[in-house]
This record gives sequence, C-alpha cells and structure tokens, in this order.
Amino acid sequence: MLRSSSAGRWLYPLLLLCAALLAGAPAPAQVTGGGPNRLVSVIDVSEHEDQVDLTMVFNCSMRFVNNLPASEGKEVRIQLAPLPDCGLSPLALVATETPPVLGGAGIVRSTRVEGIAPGQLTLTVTFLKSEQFVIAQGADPHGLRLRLINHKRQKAQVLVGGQPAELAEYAINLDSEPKAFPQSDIDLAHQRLKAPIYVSEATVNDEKWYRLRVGPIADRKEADRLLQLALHDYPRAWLAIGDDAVTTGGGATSAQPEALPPVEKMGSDPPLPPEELKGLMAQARVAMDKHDYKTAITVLTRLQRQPEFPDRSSAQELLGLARERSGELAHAKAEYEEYLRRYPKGEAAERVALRLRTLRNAEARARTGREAPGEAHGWEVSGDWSQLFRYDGQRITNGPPPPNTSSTVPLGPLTQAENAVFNDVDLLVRNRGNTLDYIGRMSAGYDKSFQSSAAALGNPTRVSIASFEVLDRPLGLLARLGRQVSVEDGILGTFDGLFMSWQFKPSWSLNAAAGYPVEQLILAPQTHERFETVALAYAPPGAHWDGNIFATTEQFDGYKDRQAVGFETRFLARNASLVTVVDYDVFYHSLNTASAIGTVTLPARWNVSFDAERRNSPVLTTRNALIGQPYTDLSGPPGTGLAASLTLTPDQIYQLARDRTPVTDNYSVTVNKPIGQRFQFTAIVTGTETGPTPASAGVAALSGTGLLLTYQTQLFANDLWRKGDFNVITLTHGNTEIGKIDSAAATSRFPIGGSWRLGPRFSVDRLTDASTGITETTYIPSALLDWERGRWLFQLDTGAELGSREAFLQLPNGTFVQTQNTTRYYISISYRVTFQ
Amino acid sequence: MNRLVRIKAAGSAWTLALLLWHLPLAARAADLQPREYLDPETAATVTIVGEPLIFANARTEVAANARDYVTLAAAAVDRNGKMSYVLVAYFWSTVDPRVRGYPMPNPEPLVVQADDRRIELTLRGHALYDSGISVPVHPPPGPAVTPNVYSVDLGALRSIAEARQLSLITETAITSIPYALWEDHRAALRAFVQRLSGGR
Repeated sequence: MLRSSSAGRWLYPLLLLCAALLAGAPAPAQVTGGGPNRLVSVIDVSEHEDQVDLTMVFNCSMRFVNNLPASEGKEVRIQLAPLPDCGLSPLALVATETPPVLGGAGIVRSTRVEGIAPGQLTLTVTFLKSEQFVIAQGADPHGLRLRLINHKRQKAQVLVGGQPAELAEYAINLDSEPKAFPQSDIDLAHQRLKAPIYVSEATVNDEKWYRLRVGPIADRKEADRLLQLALHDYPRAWLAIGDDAVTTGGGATSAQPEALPPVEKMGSDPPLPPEELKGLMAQARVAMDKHDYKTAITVLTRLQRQPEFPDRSSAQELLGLARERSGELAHAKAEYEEYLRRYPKGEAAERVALRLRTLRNAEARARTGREAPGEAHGWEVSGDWSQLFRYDGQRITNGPPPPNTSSTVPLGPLTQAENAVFNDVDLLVRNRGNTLDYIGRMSAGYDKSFQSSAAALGNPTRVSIASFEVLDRPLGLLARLGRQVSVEDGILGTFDGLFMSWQFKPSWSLNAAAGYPVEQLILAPQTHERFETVALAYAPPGAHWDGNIFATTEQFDGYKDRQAVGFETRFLARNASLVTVVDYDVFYHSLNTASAIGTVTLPARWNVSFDAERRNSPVLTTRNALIGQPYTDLSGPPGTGLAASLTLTPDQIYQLARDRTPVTDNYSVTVNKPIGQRFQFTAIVTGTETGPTPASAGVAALSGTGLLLTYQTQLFANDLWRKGDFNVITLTHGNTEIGKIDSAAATSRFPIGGSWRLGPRFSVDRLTDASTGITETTYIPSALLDWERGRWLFQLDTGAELGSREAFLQLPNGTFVQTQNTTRYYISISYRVTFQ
Repeated sequence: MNRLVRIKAAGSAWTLALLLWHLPLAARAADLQPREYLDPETAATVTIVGEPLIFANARTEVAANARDYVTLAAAAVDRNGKMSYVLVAYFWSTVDPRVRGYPMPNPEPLVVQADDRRIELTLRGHALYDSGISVPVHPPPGPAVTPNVYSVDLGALRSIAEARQLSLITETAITSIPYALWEDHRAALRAFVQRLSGGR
C-alpha cells in the first residue's frame, strides 16, 4: 500500500526526470495532424444567488450526445462527439486531458476528459457533494453550459412581510457531557478543527448537559464541511440549528458589548394626520422597491420620530432593512434592537431577531479571539497550475507486394503528430465586502512545441479568460470587463468586452454585453469585428421554470455579420426537465439554432433523455464567406480581401456566406436504467444529417451526408471487483461520413493502493470505407494511471493504435501492396496543483 | 501410534469445537450487518438495519412482566440514485387490551432522546409502500401492527447509534410516556450508518 508521503516524495524526482527528457527530446522528421491539440479550453465556474453555471469552452465544435446521470448526482459524465473541425477520425480514441477549471472552489472537485468510446469524448465533472443540474448548449457548438440549480449561497436577505427563508445560525455539537469540559478538551477541539470552539449548557429532562461546540457558523455549507471534518474525532457530532444563545464556559472569555449608534426618539415630532402617515409609508415602500435606500431612510426616520401609530412597527423594521441594504450595519443593528425593545411580540419579532443574530455573527469575535467563520471578508485567492506533456507518434508500414512482382516497397516514414508541453494557470481573486463583491479571473496558458515543421502549433501564449467584475449586491448590479466567455443571450463564446447585468426586480434582470468576439485565444483583441447584445431574463422565485429573450447584432470587417433574436427556456420538475434554445437570424432570415434537450424519469427507475437540434453548422455569419477561400478578410485589398479579389458586391458576399453554411439536424435518444446498486445500462440512438452546400466562388460543392445513424449500448458497473472501481463496456454500430463503423470497447478504473488508480482500456474498431469498400481493423490498448490527493493530481496516460487495412492499394510510386499497417503510440504525463 | 492417533483426534475435535463456537458469533456478527435487496414491487434498492431497537415501558400496574413496546427500525431507500432514510416504528404491547387503561400512544409526536439531543421525528404516513418498501421491515411478533414511517437523515441516525443514553418519548392525549431501551442493537444501527456513509 503506497502512502501519500512516499508517493509525494518520488513524484518530484519524476517530474524533474520528465523535464530533463523534454529538454533532450529530438525533433521528428515530419508532422501530420490538424485541429486543436487540446479539446477543452477552460471550464469557467460562475456562482450566482441560487445557482452555479459551469461554462465549458471547447477549442473546436462539439455535438452534445448525452449526460449521465440525467439530472442529479455527485458526478456527471457528459458525452460529446467532436465535429470535423476537431480533426479527429471516427475511430480515434481521445487522449486524456485535465481541463483547467476557473473558480468553483468548494463546488467542483475535479474534471477529466477521456475517450471511452471511439470518436467520442467523455467530460467527467465531479462535485464535492451531490448536485442537481441541467445542461444547455447555446447557438455555437464551441460551448456548453451546465447549471447547478438549488445551489443556494447563504446571503443576507430579509423579505419584509415574508418568511425569512434559510435564516438560521449553525453550530456543530461535538460532544455532550453531564460535567464541564476541561480547557484541554476545548484547546484540542480548536487544534483539530481550526475553528472557534465554545461550551454551552442545556437542561434536558431536569439534567444539566455541557455541550462542546464549534461555531457560531452563518453559512450552511461551511457547517456541513466542519461536521464532516469533526466526525473523524467526534463520532457523536451533530449539526445544531439555532438552538442556543452561545454561552461562555470552561474558562473562555465573553465578548465585549458593542456600542451602537443612537436611534431617533419616538414622539420627538408632533403627530401627523393618519392620511399623511399612510402616504409616507407608501413613499417609503416605493423607495425600497426602487432600491433608493437614501430616500427610504429619510422618510422612515421621520416616521420613527412619530408617536405610536398602527404601522409604526413596520416602519421600524423597514428602517433596519434600509440601513442594512445600504451597508450601514451598525445602524441596522441598532434599529433591529429598537424593534425588539418596543415590539417584543410584534409580527416581525422572530425574523428581526434572527436577522440581528445573523448580523452579529457575521462580525462576532470567537471565544478564542479568532474571527468567526461564515462569509469571509477581505481578499481570497484560489487557482491552480498544471502542465501536460504529450508525445504522439505514428508510423505506416506497407505489407508485401502482390505475388509475381519483384519491386520493393518502402516502409512509411515516422509521422509525428504531437510533441509538446501545455502549461496552464488559473487564478481567481475575490473580495467580498458588505455590499460590494470584487472578482478577478484569469485563465491562461503557454504551449511549448518541440516540433520543427510548419504544421507545428508553435509556441503560443493563450489567454482564455482575463476579466474583472464588480457586484453591487443591494443594487443587484454586476459589471464585468475583459476577456470572458458566455454561451447564452446570443453570445457565441469568448469575447473581449463588457458585460452588465441588473436585477431590477427579484424575478427580473436585464443583461447587456458589447465587445469583440475572440476567434483565437493567442491573439490580442481583434477590433475589426464587434457585437452588441441585450437580454431580458425572468426567473420567478420558487417556480419550476425560467427563461430569457435576447437580441444581438454583429459586425465583421464593415459588413453586417449577424443580427439575431431568440429565447432560452428551462423547465425543471421533479421527474422531468426541458431546456430549449432558439436563435433566429433576422438579417439572413435563417434559423441558426433550434434545440430541445430534455429528460424524463419513468417508473421502475427508467430514465429517458432526448436531444433534438437543428442548427446552421457553423453559425451563419457573414465571415463564413471566407470558408474555402485563400483570403483572410472580406474588405481588404486585392490579394487579401475577398470582395476586392473576386470583385464581389455585398449581396454576393452574403450569398457566399449562405452557400458555405449547411444545416445539420441532430437527434439522439438515450435510455438509461440502473440495475441494482452497482450496474447501469444505457442505450443511445443518434441520427445526424448535414445538408449539401452548392459550388460558388471557386469552392466546390459538398454533398449532403444523408441520415447517419449510430447505435450504442453501454453497461456501467461500480464496485464490481473492489470498492471504488468503475467499469464500462461499450458496443457501437453506426454510419459516419467516411464509412460504417463497428466497435467494442472496455474501460476500467480501480484503486490499486493509497490514492493511486489504474485505468486499463481496450478497444477493437472496424471501419468499412464507404467509397472504396476497404476495411480497416484497429486495436487500441491503453492505460491511465493517476494519483490524486489533496491539492495534487498526477496522471500518466499511454497507449497505442494498431491498425491494419486489407486492400489492393497503389502507392504513389506505382507499386501495389495488399496490406498497410498503421502504428500509433502516445504518452501523456500531466499534473495539477490547486491552491487557495 | 495409538497415542498419536488420540492426539490427532483430540486436535481435530478441538478445532471443530472452536469452529462451532465461532459459528454463532459469526452468525451474530452477520445479523448486525445491514441487509440490502431490490424491492420486487417498487424496484427501489432498500437497505434495512440488521436488528431494530426495541424500547419498552413497563406496565407493572397491570402485570409483573407486561410492557408496551416500540420497535424502531432504520431503512434507506435508493430510487434512481436518490437516497432517502426512514425510521419505521411499530407500537405493540403484551398488555391485554381489555385491561390496558389508556390507549396506545399517538404516533406523532415521537421523540428520540439521544443524550442531550432531542430528535423529533416527522411522521410521513403509515404506508411503507409510499416510501418504496413493499416488504415489512422488522415487524414485531404477533398479529400485524400498523407501521409508522418517519423521515430522518443520516446525521440523526448516527446520533442515535452513538448515543450513550437513549430513550423514546411518546404522547397520549393526556400525558407523555418515556420508553427505555429494551433491546440494545445500536451496534447494528452503527453498522447501518457506516455502510451508508461509505465507511466514514
């Protein structure tokens, strides 16, 4: 059994050895391969009021196939099919990646990309706890959004006249004794849990108990975390919710009483007529609705100086709330205390008491002199650093020539597809103030290639995200500036610009964005294309649905690039969910995207998911006119500009864009059924059809693909051989653009000791070429070894592809061979370290 | 040779005796382990505690060994990956109904006092099937007794399993009645909680 310390000790020398190997690696003879070298650019995690959005940005186009489980779990496996611009063959087994994750500390535990079935990749996201989620793919297939719903962040909120939902303070009861705890027990608890400890007393059935506790804790998530941590040493620990008044005990010191500002004295003004009092109350409520707290405070303070009148208690509560929302917390506490003094049995007494306690806990000093846990104030920094080395080589060897020939045939040259190191850093800096939150995000990388050919990826520096945002919580106003990513509201992925959101009502928000779309992450902002978008979102609290409508316009190189309207809706019920996206281009009069992704849970644990999409592929924009052309822009001079070089009018340019944009229909149905506790069966039927494109401006026509059907079954098994293992068998039969494919694959991952896991895989694929009838059989053995502990993750992935084509083939030199063998081998080593 | 044979026979007998001694212990240990099965009607995966807790309230005013009992059994139901936990309580008695005096306690409120922690159980209903269980869970001996199904969470079950002092409090129309622990199978409940916590 490997111990983590011994694993860590020899991990460093291994990393040094890898670095030494990289420094001495020879340059290869030739390079092949196109498309990006990494498939997932970044996963950006944005936390909102009661949901979390994971925006996944891909380096090429991906078609969503399905996700398992469908709507809830501690881990979700998203199956994606890379589209042609990814440069992967239908038989290719995707190499393992650990995508960079920006944000999400405390939510996302790990992410992984791997190939389980040929021509597909599986993106696995593991959460720290079970989450409920829905998936939506926007207009552009370069992005996918996974939304965690019902993921409340503990925030200070009081609804005047409503119920104080989720307002409570927490404590972890570590142990209870009928006698007092000695100071040594208190010190030991603090040492173990690194949190404030106190002792409270309770009388139960006429017996006095002493309770050793951690707290007070304002945040439920933090309380759950501390409880899990405490159970190791305190098996009787349990979560207490608002059941004690935090007394002192065991030699600890009590907190000093706080000096609060004075409040206005009741009756210090002459009484006003009842009508005027009603008018002032109405004015105060309107000001609160408009977030005009300054006006509200002025009016309510005037009412506070009045003698007693029927609505005075409401005015007192509103005044405390207005003070709180404008950030005047000391005044807020004073007003709440005044309420409880004057109206101890008032209608709002309970929620005002809870609100006051929450405010106090947020600023309370613990018995040990440290800050109480809860929502932290001040700067927090989190992020990670990772490196991935990949070597991928391929050799083609020719079999013997046919009988009765004497010519010799050459062996194929070694063709190396990749030899590079990918370096990534992700950084999230956050400051949570009383009213303002500041967040800085950065996700960047540097790719070092060791290839010398022109097709090598070079040594580019990538910046996926670099933005700064400010959130004014009382106003509900968010502004984010810089390079950022979004796949909703009609925005097509990464852009450099400004995004603003204003929640002007609890259920309504207005979003606007403007900037420059980012085509390549290695480039600085490209100002020759720009966009503007505006969206209105509606999300009624407690409802099962929400939606938004948007309008967007884009300009490219002086031409109208895109002008679209659309909507997105999400419906989530207990046993069903549905996400729909429609994007319609009003300039081209073309439906860019119409998609519906849904799940239904049926009796007997059957689960059915479906995905129906009709899209322009790629999204119809005027820049599509450049597809297949040797020119770099639309309006440049002859030689570089399409219009000038081919003497085209704007209408002809727009028609070219239409000609280069086929329509793709994609339908998939997934049926899933757990079998007992350890097994799960899945069947997937996928149909894809891409329409034809005509010949124009020197670009040849492309015929349509016809309907291509793929059938796949998978059998998942957990804890089959030993606890913690994961196994899947995949059988695939289908038609692709290049031919018919049959495949059988087996993947397994199991712990081998300590934090080490081994994942052997084996796949056999058979492709029958549609045009020539040649059959190709490929055997793909591979293994993934990974070690994950605490903040460290290490992975070693190695494998081979052994393919054989049986056919009568003519080589370029005129000789004939009967077989051709392809050998590909790869090795990928990576590590990631997380800090916070 | 005969002595050798005798020694060998004695050794075999001793070995057999040790095995036979440990068999009940092994069987006993197995009884404490939770049982998991696929419910044939609801298709839920059900895990039930190996042995239930039984509380008793002595009714010495009626007869020397007459008692009212409450059987409390924990179960976990996994439906489509969603786990829920229930406590099933059966109220039964060895007291002749004709001489009972006061009626059987109300199923709600039902309070488990685990050390200083008072756990009030929320009654879900009387039909186990609604919770995904079609087979009675540790029903008491004798004629069929209506089950009372309470929602609970793993933390509360852990508190009950780890408590040093454990009792039950029920209510009738006129008074509350404490029940003391009669058959202590907290070890079985601990094994149940440990299994469902993933070994933590």
